[in-house]
Amino acid sequence: MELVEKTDERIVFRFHPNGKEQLTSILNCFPLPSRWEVTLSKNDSEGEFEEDRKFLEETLDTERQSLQSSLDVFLSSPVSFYDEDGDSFLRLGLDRVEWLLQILNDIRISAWQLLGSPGPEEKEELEKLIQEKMPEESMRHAQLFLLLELAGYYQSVIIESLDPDVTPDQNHDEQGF
Amino acid sequence: MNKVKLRVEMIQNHHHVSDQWTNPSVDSDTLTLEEKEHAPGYLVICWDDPVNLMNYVTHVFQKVFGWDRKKAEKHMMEVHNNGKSVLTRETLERAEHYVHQLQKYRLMATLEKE
Repeated sequence: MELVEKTDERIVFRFHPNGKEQLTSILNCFPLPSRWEVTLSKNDSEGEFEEDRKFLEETLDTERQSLQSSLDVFLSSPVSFYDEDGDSFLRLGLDRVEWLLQILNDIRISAWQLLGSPGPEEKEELEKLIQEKMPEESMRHAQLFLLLELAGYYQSVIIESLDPDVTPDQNHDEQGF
Repeated sequence: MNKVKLRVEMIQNHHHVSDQWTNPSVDSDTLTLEEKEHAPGYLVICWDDPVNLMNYVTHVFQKVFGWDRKKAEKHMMEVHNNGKSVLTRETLERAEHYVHQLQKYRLMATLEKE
């Protein structure tokens, strides 16, 4: 996906072949069924913040549901996703940028949690396993791993496009975690 | 409406603390519960994790705190290299507000008493 237009009101990306289908498939996975452990304070042995923590958990859960409702509208909007001269485009109002980044990161974090929250070394093992002949039982892991990496890719393209030094002609390649 | 909800509404409606809240010349042992909520004695800390992208963390710090990129990157690198970074020292209400905002972006952030 590459940046082709940036104004004070919106940014427009041109998808690479099949990119539109890829991004919508990723977004359609939201929310992944992962357990969201909310911690307000690490040093709360006396439970001083427990009531506040529970309320924060409820608030975040409500906000997550709200993200899902607006995502359904976004995905079906001809304004957001459109085709022109054989290419597919994503048009994002600047008020939508933070919203989309939160959804992509939620997918990324949830996929990581469902993979068992691997550290960097475990991630390398996972990559190796996927590159080799993949056992059938690892298929689910491979899908989650792909989701994690692709969500990160789209996050990075969007974040880089916000940099005032980035012009629409610049190429976007970003690392995983 | 319970006390916590009321407080969160207050936080959401008052993003800017008044001058009296930022005055550090107070003795925390003599404060009432209400005064403690308004005394700046809580650290907002972001903890390292192996999944959030570095450019994403920098972006979130810029958005939540209004920092320039240089300052946001400095704190992001502290998280990356030291395992955590103290982002700000605030009243309880303000600290809760920032933790909420950071966790909305799914960063590992907590508040800790000084």
